[in-house]
Amino acid sequence: MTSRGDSGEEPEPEGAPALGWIAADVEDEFPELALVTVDVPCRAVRTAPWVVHRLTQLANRMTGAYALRVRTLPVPAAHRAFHRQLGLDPDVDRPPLEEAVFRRLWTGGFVPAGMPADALLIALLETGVGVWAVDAAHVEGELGVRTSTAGETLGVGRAATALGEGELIVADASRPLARLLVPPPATFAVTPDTRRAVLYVLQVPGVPAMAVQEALNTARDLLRIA
Amino acid sequence: MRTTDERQSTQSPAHPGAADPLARALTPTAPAPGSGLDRDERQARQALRRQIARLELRLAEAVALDLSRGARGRTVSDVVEPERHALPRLLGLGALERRRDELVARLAEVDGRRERERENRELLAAMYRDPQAHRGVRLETADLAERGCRVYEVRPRFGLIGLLGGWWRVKVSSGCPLPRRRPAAHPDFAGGEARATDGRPRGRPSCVRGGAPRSPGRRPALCGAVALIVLLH
Repeated sequence: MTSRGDSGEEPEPEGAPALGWIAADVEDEFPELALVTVDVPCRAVRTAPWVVHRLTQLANRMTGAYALRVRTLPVPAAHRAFHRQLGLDPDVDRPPLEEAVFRRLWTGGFVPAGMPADALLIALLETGVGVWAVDAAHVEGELGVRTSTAGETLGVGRAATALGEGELIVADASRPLARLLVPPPATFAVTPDTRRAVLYVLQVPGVPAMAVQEALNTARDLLRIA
Repeated sequence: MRTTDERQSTQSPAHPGAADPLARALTPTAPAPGSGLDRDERQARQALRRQIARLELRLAEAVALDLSRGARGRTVSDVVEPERHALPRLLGLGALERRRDELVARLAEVDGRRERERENRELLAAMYRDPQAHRGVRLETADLAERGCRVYEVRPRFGLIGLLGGWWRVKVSSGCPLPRRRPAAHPDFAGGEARATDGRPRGRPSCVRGGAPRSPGRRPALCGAVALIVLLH
């Protein structure tokens, strides 16, 4: 693992993937649900040209026919079922891959948004599994999934939004960090000041562990090389 | 990376009810009153979730197949408004049953639409076989789950001559109307192309012919003349 840039910086250590905790009431209902996290060096930089080229190639693969049948593929289908089981309508609150495909059809391509967003997007497009990143400086302890309690808020200061009681969230040891299946708010997202990030993947029931590993590895490799 | 099977559930230290797993395992737990009912309810919820997953997959496959063939698909009005941007949460038995019933209703809706489309295809074949028995019947490609904007309509040959002589045929329109600039004051176009003026859902392609609007007095006069001729005939 090497650090970014061609200067003589010391290589930063990369954490090993770990399983986050799942609250008991959530695990009772979804025994197959898992949260996989990994702590990686990460900086918000411009996307490298070869990554942009890879995004372009992926965009060319996302045709209208693919958009129609994407919901029948195993991983997106598992996400649709999970959405239904959580009370969401997957035609309104789309699963991650379907949302990305819809955005590609709507905009005509994937506009480079810089790292690590593009690395996460490529991992999503190639595996169907959503990968999200939070600034490691904001994380205390391990990440996990639980239901929110009354009066909890998401974010810090004036930008904080109230969470509904019983809402499923990704949290660390002290506070909520993101809603489930939604990117974290800007407060906890990767910024130019970020040095390390925690990547996390939600393995919903029916999604093979191999797809989760592949998604995390793809994102890690892109963050390491690009 | 550990696999899911190797996972051992823990709780957040900050989460209410958090406890050391070892201590929790060693603590003797007396069966709470109603625990059998809880277990039954949990099993019922699991069963409902399995049903929802199966129904969702069936619905996704049916919708994808129909859309790829050119079916009309789900319209805007089909999206239940109160569910927009709902929050993810653990659903109880009643809510899961409602989700399951909604999916069953959606599948029934898809089956009903397929049945109507099959009947329309048979009707189209019958129109070609015996046009005179299907005078004035009109079918659009959306009614047949086909692509494009064709309209099949049983019309008399040569206008009045065919009407009087009983010469009927299936006339196929020449496809989607070309985009034309219409007067802004025209009532059919006042709200832009997304406005449905004839009760159709938004976004559905209009299969009526384009071109300039007819003069208001022409059609009633023609209809009156035709009705008079038919009555005399």
